[in-house]
Amino acid sequence: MDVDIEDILAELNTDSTAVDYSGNPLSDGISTNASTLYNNTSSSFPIADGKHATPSDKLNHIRSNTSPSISAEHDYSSFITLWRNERCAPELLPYPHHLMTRMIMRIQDQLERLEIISMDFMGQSSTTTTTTTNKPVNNNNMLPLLCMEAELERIKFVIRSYIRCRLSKIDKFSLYLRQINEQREEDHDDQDNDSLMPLEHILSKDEMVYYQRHSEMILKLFNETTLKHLPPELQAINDTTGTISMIDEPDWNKFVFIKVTGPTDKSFNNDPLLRNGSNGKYFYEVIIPELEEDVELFIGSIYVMRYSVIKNLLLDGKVILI
Amino acid sequence: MGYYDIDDMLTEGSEIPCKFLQDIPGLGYLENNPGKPIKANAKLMLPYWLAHILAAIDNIPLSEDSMTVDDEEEPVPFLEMSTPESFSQRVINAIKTDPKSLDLHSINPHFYELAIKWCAIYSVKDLAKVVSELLLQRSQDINNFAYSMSTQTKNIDSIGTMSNITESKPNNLLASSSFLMTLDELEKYVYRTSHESYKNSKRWMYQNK
Repeated sequence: MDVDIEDILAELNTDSTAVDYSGNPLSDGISTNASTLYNNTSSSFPIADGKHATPSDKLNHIRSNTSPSISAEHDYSSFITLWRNERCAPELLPYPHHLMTRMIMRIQDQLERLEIISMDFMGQSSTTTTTTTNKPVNNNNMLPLLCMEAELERIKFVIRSYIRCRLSKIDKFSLYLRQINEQREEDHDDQDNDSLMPLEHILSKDEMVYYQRHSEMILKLFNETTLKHLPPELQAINDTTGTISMIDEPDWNKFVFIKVTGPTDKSFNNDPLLRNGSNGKYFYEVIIPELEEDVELFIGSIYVMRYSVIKNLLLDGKVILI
Repeated sequence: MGYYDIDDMLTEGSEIPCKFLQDIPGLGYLENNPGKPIKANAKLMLPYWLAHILAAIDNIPLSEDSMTVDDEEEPVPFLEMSTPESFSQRVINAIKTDPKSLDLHSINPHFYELAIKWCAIYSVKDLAKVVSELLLQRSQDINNFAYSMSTQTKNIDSIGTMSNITESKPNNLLASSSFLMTLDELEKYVYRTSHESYKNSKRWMYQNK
């Protein structure tokens, strides 16, 4: 008689091994105090691992998914996902406030550490014969220093590219963003304005400043060069009643390449949207409204799909853009 | 197709044969004789941006008095658009026979965008079918021509240096350049972007050996 002891073994394993708690890469997690923020990247255990020592805790974690682990490595990989999504998506995605704060903090920290180490190194090279065995990091080779510098450059490149991409989208959709903002203020009394996110949630503080000043400047330019010569009813820059709407909305039906990754905590049974196919594979079922066609998105496959169809899955982190 | 899209503006500038259904005073300058009224059944070419509005709007009462007059009449739009030359039966037949050898650029440089607008207004299903088939067929050739390029590094630089390559590969380039002359603006955009991406990926692969 076969006894299936997989579950028992798994419970035993949780005590000693690092479980892959890949939190939702798109929600940037809970805010944490700065002292636990930057752990050294060499540790393969997530910081929060100590909390989930017992199996019951682990199950709670999977069910609730309220405390995704925070580590430098994990933050970096979720930031890469965000960067890729931002570059491929037609609309401006919400800004990851907490994740970004952590990244910036780590960069500054690493920069300072790098300076201290290189100062040590210079001091050492001037007094070459004295204490060489004191600090193993400075042990006469530059390789760790070079690696740290190169790594910092890589991360900074990704962040720069991400922000530039967002700024170009802000340029493009500035009137549309303004329209969102105004609509929100109008429906402020109604409670059912969940569909519209507040602008502070979409943009960061710096982007907010950029967006406001930039649209002011554009408006001023248009006003002084052409608009003031037009009759008053044609002077609006965001007129939607004419033959063509002047507000450029994002192209919601843009085709994007997606990869279906599945729920972020890898627990397939807890996702209400997930279905089980006839061949044992899990899939999401989405409907393309214009064609009235159901599409089954199997986990692990790649599709070319309209953005409007997969928008909600993307915001939940169940698919990524490639 | 946004508000500031230049290709969109150029598309809307293409002229469409129209027939006026009403007498309108003062509009004679559309027929190049200002000061005179325009007669009903006058036929003239109008740009799309003007024509599609006038064809959609009924006679709007300009003041309170004209309201009463208007109620007795049937609402008639100012003018009627007839099928432009680009979508005539002759062109449709040519598309159906051989999409790849068709010279779209000489028919209308903004053929597809105008076709999209035309289909949206009159919801002509068979034209939409023909045009989407046309795009599908031609995009295969566009992909072929975008992919084929000289592997010599000095010639990869840009499309502008094609004259240098003619000596090495005359057949290929003669064919592609004569095909490129027949592309319309949308296809040119598709060709340019896909050619650039093929070119860049090739350059990346061969120069990083």
